[in-house]
Amino acid sequence: MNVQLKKGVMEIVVLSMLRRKEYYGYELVTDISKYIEMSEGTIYPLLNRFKKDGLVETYLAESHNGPPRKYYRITETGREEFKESVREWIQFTKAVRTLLEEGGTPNEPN
Amino acid sequence: MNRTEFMDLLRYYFRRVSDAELQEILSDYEAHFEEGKKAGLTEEEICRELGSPKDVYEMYLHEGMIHEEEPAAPQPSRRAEKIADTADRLAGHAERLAGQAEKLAGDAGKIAGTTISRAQDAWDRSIAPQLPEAAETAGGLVWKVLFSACYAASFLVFLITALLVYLLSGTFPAFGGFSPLPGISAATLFFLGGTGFFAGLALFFAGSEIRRMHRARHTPPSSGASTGAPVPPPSPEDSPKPQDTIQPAVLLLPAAGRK
Repeated sequence: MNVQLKKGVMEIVVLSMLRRKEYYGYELVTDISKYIEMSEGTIYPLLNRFKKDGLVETYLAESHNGPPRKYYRITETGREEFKESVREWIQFTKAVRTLLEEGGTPNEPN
Repeated sequence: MNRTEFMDLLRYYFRRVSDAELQEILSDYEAHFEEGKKAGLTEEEICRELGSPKDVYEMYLHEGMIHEEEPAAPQPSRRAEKIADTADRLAGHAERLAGQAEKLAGDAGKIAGTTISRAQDAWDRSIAPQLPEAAETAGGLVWKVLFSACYAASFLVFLITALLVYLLSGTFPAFGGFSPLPGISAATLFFLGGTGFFAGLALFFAGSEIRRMHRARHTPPSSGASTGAPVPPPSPEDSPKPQDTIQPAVLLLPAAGRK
């Protein structure tokens, strides 16, 4: 799948996962990459931006073996943002599907 | 790429970011390596999954998450940047290669080519100047033999594979379901055919690569003219020009060792 396309989707995917559960970085990243092939390293910049924008917050929790882990928890703002993104996503995919089904593909004008 | 190299490249790309920011960025990846190690992955595997440090850097830029200080000097070092870029690209390239079996055939040819040119360079520098010109023509001949042999071998491999697959898979109903060779499973047959096919392909690419290099280095002065300055006829006291010399024995060994 196209990298640019994935970049846009990743935001909604990460928020959706955090809505269900609190994750630490590695767990979240590897869980996503089970479904979507991508450079795992590029999730961290996204998480950090979410944190800066107040969509998620982080806390440290002990792990049974090794140093404490940084967990990510979605905030109210994050949940709102997610709902909004899903609305946009559905609208967008619907429009794309309509265009494709009507044969209006851009590489075959007329 | 291993952990140290990955972290070093990150430090390189984020070199214009303040120390505090840098430490925060790096800590995520340090933690990722620790968790990966606990999950039983090797550093190389973790690096492969993480993708290239440059992608990480570009993602941070894309998200508007980093504030770069103005570079103090005009440019710290174009060369260092180039080297880091190249290392990064090479690592990515190697990883892609590992995943693409069918591309291997083509790349085998290229690798043979690279090895040959490396050997050629070593030869040019150390031994060639002492050789009489006769060796040049002899060298050219051996190259021709070499790529012809590659082509012939590739053709043979294709032929034998096709014949084997045909005989192994065919039964002849007219002769009461007679099969010429004992039947084997479809999967084995498939892999046999595939192996033969790619082996033939590899030989073919090796041949064309050798031929290409031979052409590039051995264009006879008479036919390759048309440049402004005509090439003077070689006089006996001229020492052979380095880029025109060729040495077959050195070339054969590394090329064969790669197969």
